[in-house]
Amino acid sequence: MNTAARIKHLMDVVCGALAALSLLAIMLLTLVDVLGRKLLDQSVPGSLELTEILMVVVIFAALPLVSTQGEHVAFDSLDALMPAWLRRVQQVLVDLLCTSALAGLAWLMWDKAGQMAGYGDTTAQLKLPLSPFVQIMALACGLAAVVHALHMLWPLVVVDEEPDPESAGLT
Amino acid sequence: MSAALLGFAAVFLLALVRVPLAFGMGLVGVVGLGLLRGWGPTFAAAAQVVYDSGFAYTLSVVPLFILMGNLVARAGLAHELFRAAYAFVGHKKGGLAHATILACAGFGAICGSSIATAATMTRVAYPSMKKLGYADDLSTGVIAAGGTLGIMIPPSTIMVIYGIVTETHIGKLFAAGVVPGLLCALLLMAMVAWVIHRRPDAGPAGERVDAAGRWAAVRGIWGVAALVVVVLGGIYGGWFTATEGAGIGASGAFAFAWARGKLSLPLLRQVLVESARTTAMLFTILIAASIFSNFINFTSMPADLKDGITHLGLPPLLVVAAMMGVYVVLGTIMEELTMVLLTIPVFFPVVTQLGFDPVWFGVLIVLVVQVGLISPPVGMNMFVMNALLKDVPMSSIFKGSALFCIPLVAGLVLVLAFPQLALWLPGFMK
Repeated sequence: MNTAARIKHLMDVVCGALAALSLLAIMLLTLVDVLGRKLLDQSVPGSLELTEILMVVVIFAALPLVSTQGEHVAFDSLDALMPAWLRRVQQVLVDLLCTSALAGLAWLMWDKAGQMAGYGDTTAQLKLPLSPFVQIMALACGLAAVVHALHMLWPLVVVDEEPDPESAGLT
Repeated sequence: MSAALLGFAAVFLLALVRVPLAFGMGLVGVVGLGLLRGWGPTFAAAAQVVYDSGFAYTLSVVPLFILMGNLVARAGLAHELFRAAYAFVGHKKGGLAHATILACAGFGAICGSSIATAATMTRVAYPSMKKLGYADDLSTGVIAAGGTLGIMIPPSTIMVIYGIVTETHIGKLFAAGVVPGLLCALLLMAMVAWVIHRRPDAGPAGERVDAAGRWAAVRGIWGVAALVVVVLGGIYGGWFTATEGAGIGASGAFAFAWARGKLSLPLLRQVLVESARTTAMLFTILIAASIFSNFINFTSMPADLKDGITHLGLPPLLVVAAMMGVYVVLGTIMEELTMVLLTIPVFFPVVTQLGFDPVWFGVLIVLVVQVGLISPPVGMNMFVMNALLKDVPMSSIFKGSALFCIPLVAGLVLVLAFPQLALWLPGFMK
């Protein structure tokens, strides 16, 4: 494995593990909280805000993975009609746009995290500081921006892997 | 008004040159609002939308239902559903096709995705139909169309998305999907009967199952039944919120998959990561759609449209019917989620202004998505089947799917004409 592949692998493992564990935690937390509330009349303290924080981790840890897999929903019906060079030019421009948008968002969120740290914003019940999680949002957007920037240099090879239709998702 | 029109034009143009939908909508929304309102407040508002969408307890319903669907798809529950349905109708001509539709309806009650339902049923039902000598267009058409029951019969990812975007009660949307979902199943079965009537060779009869076999097959679906009763019953009865129900459902599906030894650790990791990726992909779109509609709502377009429609004095039902017509046509070539998210900011305020129930409109949206998913040349259900069935020509899948669009369009017309089909069941919820 060359260095680029190794870094990508590392990102896949770290982001994947963070997202997977957080999602599993949301599932178990909801289960325990609901059972506790309905059967024992006792809820998990702060379960609501824990779920919210875990949601942030699920969404934003998985964001760079969506980018490495080229899974963002796009209208691709015209691809077949375009010559390869034009397709490549288009791809560079699209990735440039995505990079700028994500980098801009990363900067906005980092800024917001700073403000929130200044105010000392915390969650209502457990008093967890909120700004580190907003920083996670910013970092994830930054990482996704880097992924798109790298795609400009090395185009995403869509390994026409058999799409696993059992997890095809949205519709 | 012109600012909003320019905005829509820009989003479509960006989409056409393959900019991911989320990025196109988000950028146009920020630039548009920035020009109208000034950049400082626009940036602050955009950051706030991202923040609010991330830290949102109720939105955890999304990954949980996606996870539940991905888990039940691997738990092997579909086999038992198909066996049970076969035991009762398999011995009739076209019986396997009828059984497929029934199994799809059952699977739809534990899975909120049309594509997952179609993919699962392709693996479960297609081989049996092939072995018995079914015509490919009939077998693939039935699976593609039956798969769309996954998003009408609750739970339903599309309903969850619609509920979030339009702030409509998700539990009521779920309840509203039950009767139209069963209606669609009946209409699909009528279509099968018609095809068999015209081409008796297309769907030969299978072997009869005796009473003992039937009883055994019915007992086999207790797992599905338990999940349906607890999750949907709990949500409908007001025992759970949709979010809580989703958590219970995902846990239940997890327990089944685990107990049946279908879930190794690497597979569990894969299912979780895939669900998280789908969630992230969806949230980028939800966030962008929210930023974009902030911009649209800042323009005079929604008000102008409302006034325009009122001034025209068209019969309200005709307006909605026209929207549905647009959707059915667009759905042949557009990816359905894109289509819905792009048009909701315009259509939804008009519909509510005309005095219609958002729950009913949500069911209509699901129906047009169903049709879109199986109307050639662009529809995910057909593509997924094409990926799974290497030796079936795309033309057969297209032919079968196009044929089975007819009953779904009939369902659309019926729900349009008789809103009570959708609104009766949620009427009992508090």
